[in-house]
Amino acid sequence: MSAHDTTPTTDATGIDRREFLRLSSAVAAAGALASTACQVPPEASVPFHDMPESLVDGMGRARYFHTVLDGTPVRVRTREGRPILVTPVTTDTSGRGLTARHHAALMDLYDPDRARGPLAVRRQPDTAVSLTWNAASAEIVSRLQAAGSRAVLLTAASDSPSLAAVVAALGRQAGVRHVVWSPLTGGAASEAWSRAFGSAAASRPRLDGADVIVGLGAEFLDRPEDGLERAFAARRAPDGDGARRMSRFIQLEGRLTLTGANADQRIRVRDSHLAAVGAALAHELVVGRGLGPLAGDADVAAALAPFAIDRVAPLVGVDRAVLGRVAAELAGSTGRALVLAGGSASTAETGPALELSALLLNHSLGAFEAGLFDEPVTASGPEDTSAALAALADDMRAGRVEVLVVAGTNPAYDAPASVDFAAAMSSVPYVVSLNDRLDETSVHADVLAPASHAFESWSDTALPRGLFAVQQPVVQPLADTQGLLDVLIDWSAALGDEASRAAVASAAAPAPAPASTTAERLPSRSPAWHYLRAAWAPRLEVAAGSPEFEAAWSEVLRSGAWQGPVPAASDRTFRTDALQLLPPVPAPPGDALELQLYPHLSLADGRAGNNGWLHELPDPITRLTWGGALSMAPRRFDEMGLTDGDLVQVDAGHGSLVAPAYRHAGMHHDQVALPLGLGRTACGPIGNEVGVNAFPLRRMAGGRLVAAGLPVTIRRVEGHQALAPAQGSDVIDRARRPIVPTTTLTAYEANAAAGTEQIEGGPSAWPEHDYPKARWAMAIDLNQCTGCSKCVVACQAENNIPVVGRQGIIDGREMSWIRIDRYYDAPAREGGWGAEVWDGPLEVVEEPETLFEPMLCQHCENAPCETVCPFSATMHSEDGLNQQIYNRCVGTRYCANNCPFKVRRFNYWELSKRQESAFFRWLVPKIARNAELNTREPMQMKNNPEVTVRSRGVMEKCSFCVQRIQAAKAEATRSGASKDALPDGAVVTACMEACPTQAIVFGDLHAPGSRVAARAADPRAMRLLEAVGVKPSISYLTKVRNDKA
Amino acid sequence: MTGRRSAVRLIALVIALAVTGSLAYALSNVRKGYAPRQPIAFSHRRMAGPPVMETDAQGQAVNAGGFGIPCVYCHTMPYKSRHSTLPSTAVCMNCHSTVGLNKEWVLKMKDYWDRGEPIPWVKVHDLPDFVYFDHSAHLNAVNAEGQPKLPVVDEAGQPMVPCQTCHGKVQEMEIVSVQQPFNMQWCLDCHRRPEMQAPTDCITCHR
Repeated sequence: MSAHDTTPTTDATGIDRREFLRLSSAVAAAGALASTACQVPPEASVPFHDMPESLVDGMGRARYFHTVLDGTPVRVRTREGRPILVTPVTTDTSGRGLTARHHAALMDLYDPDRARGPLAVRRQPDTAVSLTWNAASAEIVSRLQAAGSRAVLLTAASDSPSLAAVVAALGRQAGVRHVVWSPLTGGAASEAWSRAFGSAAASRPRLDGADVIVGLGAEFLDRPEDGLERAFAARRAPDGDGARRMSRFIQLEGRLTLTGANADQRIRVRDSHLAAVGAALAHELVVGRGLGPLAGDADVAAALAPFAIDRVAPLVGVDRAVLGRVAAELAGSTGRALVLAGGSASTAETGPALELSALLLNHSLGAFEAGLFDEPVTASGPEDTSAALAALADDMRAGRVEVLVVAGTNPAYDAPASVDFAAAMSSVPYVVSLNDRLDETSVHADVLAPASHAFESWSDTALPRGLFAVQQPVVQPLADTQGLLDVLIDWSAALGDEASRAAVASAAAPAPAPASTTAERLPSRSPAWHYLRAAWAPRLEVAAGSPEFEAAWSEVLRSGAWQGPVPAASDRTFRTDALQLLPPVPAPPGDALELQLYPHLSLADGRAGNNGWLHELPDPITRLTWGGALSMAPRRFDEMGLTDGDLVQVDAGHGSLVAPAYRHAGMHHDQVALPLGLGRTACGPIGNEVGVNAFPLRRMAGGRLVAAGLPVTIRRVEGHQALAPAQGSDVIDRARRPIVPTTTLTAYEANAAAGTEQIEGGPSAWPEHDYPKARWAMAIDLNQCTGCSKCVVACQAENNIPVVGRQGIIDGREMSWIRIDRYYDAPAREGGWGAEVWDGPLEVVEEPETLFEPMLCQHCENAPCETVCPFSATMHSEDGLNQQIYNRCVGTRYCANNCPFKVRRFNYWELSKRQESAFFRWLVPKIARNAELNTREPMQMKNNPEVTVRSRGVMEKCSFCVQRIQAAKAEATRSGASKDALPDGAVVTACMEACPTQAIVFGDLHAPGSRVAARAADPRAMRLLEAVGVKPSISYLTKVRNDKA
Repeated sequence: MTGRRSAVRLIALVIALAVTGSLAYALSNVRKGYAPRQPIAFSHRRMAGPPVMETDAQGQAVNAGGFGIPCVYCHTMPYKSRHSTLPSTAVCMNCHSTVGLNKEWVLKMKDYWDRGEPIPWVKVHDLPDFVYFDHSAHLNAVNAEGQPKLPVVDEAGQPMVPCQTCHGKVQEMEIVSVQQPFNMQWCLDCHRRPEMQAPTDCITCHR
């Protein structure tokens, strides 16, 4: 083409030269525009007005505080003054344990549905108006004064000595009557103890001293607050010998509980028969074998005479030989055997008899003499409070109560139907609620004066074994609330109590001088702080206000607790007349069906009903989230032709309800079970109307609340309600899928590697990795893991994992980075069990062996996810981590598809971001619901600033708490040590920190003395899916069942 | 024919725009040169620069340069903490409770102090939220010989504080501006240098 040729030339695209130039300039202009428009949006950076001296050591570092939550000492991790994680205290001598509720308490603290300040409800919650604290207190105090002894303070049970003192002062000054209502505290144990030994105070068993443990419906693993998990796990190592040899745990129960799932042998006995079985064992030991101090006692022999094993065994549907062997095992381990009752079965009418039979067995086996029980500290045991509540309701109806103050308890929701507390409240002229929100009880109140969360207020508590702990606030009150102790001190001061007056006066006193810097510690404005210090001075044996006191007090706050004298052992003389408690011999087996109402494993009494973390925490056995279901034995379930979620009506005579049915493996055929603590109606939009409230089905009988062994009839009704089971609930055909290493003690002793056999894999196509620096790895001992699921909540809190809600779970959109897979073990069978046996054939699920396997990203050496990511958004790090880079991820989801462990999570919805646009919220109601669950103020305050809050369209998964690894490396660099050779224990992941039994160990395989390396080298260790050749970084140690009777 | 042709043109235009736009975005130094206006016209040159003594009209010796205050007098944390932190107003008041009380900006600062309000500074060196940078890990980093990894002399052989590696010669700035690109390429330029022995794993900064 010549230079003079001006004919426009066009190529195949139809664009000529001039047009190309025009386009080019347009493109250049757009580019220039883009580069100028892509400036960083300005961001404010606001320093302190006057930085506290204590922060000089480093902004952006976590600070820990000891405090008390719900009677259990905890350690709270805070960042810049806000709590972001609840962890167990490292030196645990408290005799109490953390529950999932403790780990999830942040969601209660940052609950947007708590009352923001005092409200004048006047029984019309819709028209409630705000009040000031001064106005509310003045009104309440004048009412209390006027009412005198016709005022009642209704609280939950509390172990706080200071709270008890203030409550006593209120009674002294104005005659205020104190009534306690604790919905879940049964009185069976204290009744049995006081009948047998003359004192209601029950002792704590020492599980680490027992070779043989027999549970008669015991639920010590379902109720970790009892603090027995650690002692149980301490004796579960299969290689221990002598006094540390592996214990054998036999559980007799009607519903498959978490405790029963951890038993070596499980025998199905319905709740109302357990007392007779206990008596039969006692008959065999005391009368049959002449064991213990009561052998030869004619009264005992006469009382036990109807309970010969031969007679009882067929009546309760258990093989005579099986019961006989249990008795023989107990008899063979006198002084080293424990019998435990105390679960939901103890709330049956035969509960006291059940507890008594356990005491009789322990007494005859010499457990008390052998020191297998701690001495109790308090003089009273947990009382059944239902009789007191019923009497109070009667008084209220009769007009004998002028003022009712409700504090921290919710009888309108959880009282039995016969009490009808809400109706009784309408007969009381003036009702005050100190609960934290407009809940079921508060809506019937005149004034709601919301109490602060435990993390916002001062109090103290007495613990078993003579320990006392202080509940110190870890954050300023988030709203206009006051601590319960503060409020009560205020009132008792106004009513003239001296100690309270002094506390209020010093709290109100002006600061000595306007402080020039915040370095000076000012006295707290909280009356409770002054009250506690005055009350603790005699305990610490120093004069209040002296420098010695300040030092001692600081030490108590720093360490969290103070050890008082441990009471001396008391004499145990068994009173044989207590055996009158024993029940009649059970009737021959018939068609009768009985109901057990058990506390929901994560929600318990439903107090934290608006807590999304707890609703979404799968029950370790049923795997159900967001509401429970009626558990039915598989055979009965199949015979009725049900599928999971079909509605069933439960009729207990005095009440009935409709609940979805669930095929619960291991249930006794004649028993059904429903969880308590669900079906709240006024806790907030997160928890309202989730599940059914089973509290009204409980019945008052003989001054006790009966929640088990209730005769019921069930029938199928029209309708279906989809259950929300979480991932990981399968029956495993071990012959075909060796995914959980498991064996028996006999096999283990013959071959330590038993149970780790795997399908052989071929040679690897990948080169070996070279790990010149650290090599991060984890080892999980399945024998220590009880399936308690606290690691799941801790992970959720540490890693900013959002809640997906009920529909999200049903859609399979769950986000949790760690889950506890639950398997029912199917023994090997010729030809296998068929490919898809997820629900489980009857022969497996009628008497299942339960296995728990914590499943999280395995950080494979040859990770299948890495090879398929087209954007290299997931890669292997030089120290063995499978890294997930959110800002590189575009959400192809190939990685999740290729992960053999199914641990990768995709954020389908904008779960952690508030959608401001009303239009979008209208267009996609799901987005509005997500915001309700995750992002309402002040919920974001719970987020860990060390972890990215992931957005929509991004894959995420367990990072081995890489933020903690990086923090440890930075700390090493700061202190001049090598960041590539951290000592063992320098990095503790959130799950490992939360694990009460040290089932999870994380660390560097190269570190000297590395615990994880020792475990990985154990013959019990197995890395999953060897045949696939992915080489996980996580080793699982075999679950060993003690079959050595 | 014309319809098809304009469709092709439109597609070509869109593709060309997309490619060039993203290239321009990737290559542009979105941070370098950023010098936002601050609520108080604080001069780093005056506070941290070297003193320059001059004689004024009255024959008095005056300091026309700076006071040579070290960086860490105000930005206290970089050796101890992830953040370098801005000084609290109390630090300003250490001196300005007695000096400079006739100056406009000092009075404005004092106004904030008297009101008990923090000063709403605008962040100059602002990394994206998905980047976790740790000042202390950089400033305390030493090589195998125990020598600091960050340079302590500049290209001309003059001693310098290691802060200048990334932040430039702040002591010469009237208004602080970003001197380096502060993008991932620039971070990696250093991390990849063999003598730095620095990690280049993604999780070093992203988690």
